[in-house]
Amino acid sequence: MIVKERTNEQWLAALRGPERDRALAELRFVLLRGLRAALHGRMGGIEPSVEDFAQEGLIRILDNLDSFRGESRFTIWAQKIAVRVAFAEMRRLRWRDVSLDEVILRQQRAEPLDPFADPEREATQGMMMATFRRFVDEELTEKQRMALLAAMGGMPLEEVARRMDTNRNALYKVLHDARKRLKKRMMTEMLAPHDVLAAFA
Amino acid sequence: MFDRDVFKAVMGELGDTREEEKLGCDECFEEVDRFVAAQLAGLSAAQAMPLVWEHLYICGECRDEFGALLDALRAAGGTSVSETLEKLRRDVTPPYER
Repeated sequence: MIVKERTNEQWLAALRGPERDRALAELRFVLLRGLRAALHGRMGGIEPSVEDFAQEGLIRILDNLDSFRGESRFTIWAQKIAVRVAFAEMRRLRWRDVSLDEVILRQQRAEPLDPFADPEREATQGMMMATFRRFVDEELTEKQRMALLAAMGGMPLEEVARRMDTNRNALYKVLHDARKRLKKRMMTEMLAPHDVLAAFA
Repeated sequence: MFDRDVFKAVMGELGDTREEEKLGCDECFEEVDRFVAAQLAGLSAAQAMPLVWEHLYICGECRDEFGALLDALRAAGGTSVSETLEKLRRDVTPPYER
């Protein structure tokens, strides 16, 4: 399909005027092409097709046309929304049967030992992790601890937030406060995070 | 105890944590298309919009979505656009994730 070159104003006018059907078809084509590239290798066996995501994205874009401020190209703004819609749905589907408790428990399972690892280095790293785990218990509120451990278990913030009756933005702030507390404690204990990171390099 | 890669990422995030982070995920999402537009206009997006850069650098989830958005935009652009967007991706990726 040939997508007509349009200014932002022309896109808005086309989507709201008599050219609407053609503009919708072209926008859908743009989203589909983008989502195919964006989701390549990221779908992980999720059932809905890229076409479904493009359609959902299109609906969300049309619902939010009035909020487009024209500060970037219309197609970048539209693609941003389509990607966000697709990611939210993929995350919801991938994690729908996993509880917070389950994902937090995963953190307590020991990793299999690496038979080729240096035992002394393994012991140091294990001690650092155990110390960090103690800081998590000692420094964080229950809400902060649950959020951090669930996020470390790989559960997306949106999904953690849903299970904690909050939203992604508020949960990010909870995690920011948790990170500040942990960083302060680590610095007090002469265990700077970047030094710990170096020990795992 | 912890998955090593996850633990390393958390240490990296803790090291980069600032006392005040002015943008959350929602505010970052609102601005991220302008962030891309700035880079495509020949500016350094990181310098033009440091708060967006800071959030993307520390928030793995927003960075994942941002990476996907860049892939989507690359699909529509030519080689020079592709290189510009790739540089932007590198700019927001912390060393422990490269």
